[in-house]
Amino acid sequence: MIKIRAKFGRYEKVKFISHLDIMRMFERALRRARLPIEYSSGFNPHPKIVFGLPLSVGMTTESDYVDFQLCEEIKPIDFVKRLNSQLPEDVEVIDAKLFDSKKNIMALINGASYDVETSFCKDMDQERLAEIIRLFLEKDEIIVSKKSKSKVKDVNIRPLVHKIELKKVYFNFDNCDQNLGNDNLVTFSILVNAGIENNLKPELFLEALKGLLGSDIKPVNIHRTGLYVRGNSDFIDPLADAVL
Amino acid sequence: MNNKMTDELLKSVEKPARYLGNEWNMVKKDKTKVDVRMAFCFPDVYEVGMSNLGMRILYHLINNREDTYCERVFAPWVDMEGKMLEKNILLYALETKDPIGLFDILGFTLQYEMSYTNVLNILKLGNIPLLAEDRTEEHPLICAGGPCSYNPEPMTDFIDFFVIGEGEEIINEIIDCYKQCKNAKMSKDEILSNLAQLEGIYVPKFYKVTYNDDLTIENIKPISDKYPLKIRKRIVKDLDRTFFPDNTIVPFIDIVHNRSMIELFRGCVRGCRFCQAGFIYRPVRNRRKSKLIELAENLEKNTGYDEISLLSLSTSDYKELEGLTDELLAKMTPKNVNLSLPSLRIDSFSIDLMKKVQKVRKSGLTFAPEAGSQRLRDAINKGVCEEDLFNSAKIAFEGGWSSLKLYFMIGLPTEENIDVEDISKLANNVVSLYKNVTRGKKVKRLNLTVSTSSFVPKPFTPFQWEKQDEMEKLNEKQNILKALLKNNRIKYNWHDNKLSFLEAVMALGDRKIGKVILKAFEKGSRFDSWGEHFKFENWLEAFIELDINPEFYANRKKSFTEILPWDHIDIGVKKEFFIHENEKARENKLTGNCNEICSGCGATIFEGGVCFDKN
Repeated sequence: MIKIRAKFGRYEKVKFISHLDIMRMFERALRRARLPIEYSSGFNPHPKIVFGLPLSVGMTTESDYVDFQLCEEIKPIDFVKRLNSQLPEDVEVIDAKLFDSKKNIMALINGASYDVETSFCKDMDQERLAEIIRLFLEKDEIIVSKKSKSKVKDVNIRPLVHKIELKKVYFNFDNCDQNLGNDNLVTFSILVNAGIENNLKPELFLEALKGLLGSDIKPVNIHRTGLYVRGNSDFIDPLADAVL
Repeated sequence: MNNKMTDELLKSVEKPARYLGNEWNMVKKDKTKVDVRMAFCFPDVYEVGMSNLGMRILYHLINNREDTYCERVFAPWVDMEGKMLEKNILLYALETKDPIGLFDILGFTLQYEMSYTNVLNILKLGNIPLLAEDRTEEHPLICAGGPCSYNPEPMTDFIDFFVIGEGEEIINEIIDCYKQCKNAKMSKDEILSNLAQLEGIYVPKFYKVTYNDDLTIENIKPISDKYPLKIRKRIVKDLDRTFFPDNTIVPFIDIVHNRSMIELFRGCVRGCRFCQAGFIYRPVRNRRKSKLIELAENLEKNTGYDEISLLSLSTSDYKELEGLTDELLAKMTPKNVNLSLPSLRIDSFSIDLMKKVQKVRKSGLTFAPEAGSQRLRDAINKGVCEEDLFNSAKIAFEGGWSSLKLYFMIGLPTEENIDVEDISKLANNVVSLYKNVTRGKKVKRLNLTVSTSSFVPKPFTPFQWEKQDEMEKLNEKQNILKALLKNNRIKYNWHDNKLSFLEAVMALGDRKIGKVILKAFEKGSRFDSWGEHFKFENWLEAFIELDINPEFYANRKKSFTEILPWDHIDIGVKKEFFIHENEKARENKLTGNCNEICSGCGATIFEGGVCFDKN
């Protein structure tokens, strides 16, 4: 069994496609590149590709991961080159390594970091915003309503948030067309739980921030800056030797 | 990128990728370095348009020319349309994002009648006057082709010229002519006059239609003898030598037919009397097996699709089907590429073939007996007998299939209620057959669906003079079937009668219908073939306000001597042949297929295809 784990990015020009579309895109690119991907057996064979975490429509990423199972030996560097030649503009494989750990990337993911660019309408400055973040991190409980397919559930998301930093701030630069107050553009860099268990979507994080902020806050752009796995400690690079 | 098409806007609509382009194999050219800018406009949403084979062919064919850039335009979905109007965003082509008003030629394909309001909507969203007479030198030339253009009359108010026949054959001549005229600084009218002299081009403004007192057509004739009395369609003589793209666009999002397509042949030898496609694409022209395999391999290599569809009107009639599928399977199965074979007929149905092809997935099977009784099947020349159907079904059930769809039409000419009841008899017999075949075995219950569409008389068929059943009558027949099929857990689907009625009016209509289309559009009609957006009231109101009686077109049996709105179009197959076929229908007499015997339909005038094959 030859397994390769690859790190890839997906940027502006192709961000408006769904996770399913990305999966199909990779499948077709692998075919065009004539890469020896292994197929499952049974009634409906599909290529053995596992993605770390789904990408939402509209989200960009500079660091997502996907595992491939191949039926022939190939050097990762050749794999990357051939696959990239068949991937559309703004999708690229950045790095790849062979691995033989039994666990696939989807099972391993436990964290994600995002740059969440937001806009909100309220009189604000750096000091007050830093205070709000401090208050957020001080709490043990922050309850948000999480909507699933059939029901609405109250969830405590505080334990799922590990870091919040201000990356870029642009305060009071324009007049909001609604209420009183001025428009602000703020990018939060956050590190949160992710994966099969306890996944925190950045949108839900913003829901939680609404209460403390005292105003509606809209995502302008969500960019995933990293995906992490649990190894001998938390939030490790999925391509670290210890993990592979 | 159009500045107004912001991220926020895109995030607020369904499937934003519909509006972005940039797909794999999209053609990128420098728009400043070409002489002619064309946009292929498909009057439906992206997922439907991108599945159309004609568009795939013409897009790449035209773009093979260095002097022309052909881009794509689709109808925005209703959610995006609202936002575009709100924010003053003009409809644009996907490749360059330029507004469609900037192009030299906009080419529409008319695939089905209920897409006509979408044609108008595309023009409106591009800020282009809908009526041809309102457009000036600064507006693009608007042309249209596709199956519905064989009766172009309902759309003559809006289209500058129609392309009758197969686009691949004539499009280069059109562009050459246009280029020459443009360089000579000719006016639009002069350009149209030049185009009208190419064979297969119909410029409606150069033809005058006069009417009798009873509203039938008195005459259709050109305003000058520069233009032909009849416009003869153009066809590709040799399918093996004509252009076929092997590097087609691969969309990001899912579309209706998300697979490679290759065309086995064009036209149909069967001559079923209700079927327009079989006649308008005569003479039947085959592709050589070796060519098909070459195309399939190249498509697979260049697109990465995991499925290849073999297309034709009646795939079982491809003589080397077994050899072709064997070879394709040998090449494609190791690559995990599947074959799909729609349009297989019952009587030459081979379960072995299906078993080979559906190696991994046992998806449902579809049979189309079209009529419930043998009497009616003979009348419509669908030479299928019950024994064939049951034999095939039996082998299918023994082979493990448990899901079957049966397609029928109701409202066919000479149909009586007994024929409708026979549909249910046939379906129930299939259920019994399944029970017998699978007795004692542990299998799933049979999943049987009966689907009826309503007969629409179409131009260039032996039934073009027939009337459609009134909506109430169709309703009555559907109710008969609903009651009869309730037992045995047979699912029954039927078509919307109001939609079928309008389809008949559009298909059989003359120039007066243009006003109706415009009025219905102004009342808000678009995406008429999408159930949730179809508003019959708009059309009814339009008919009333314009004092046009739709039943005159749809529900009136016409005499053989009446001048039909499409009589000035020549498809090769002669009217006398259609009349003879119509009379044979009344006697329940069959006509053999072209491979067995030539029935002298008239398609030999094109000097190509199976008519001249040495048997």
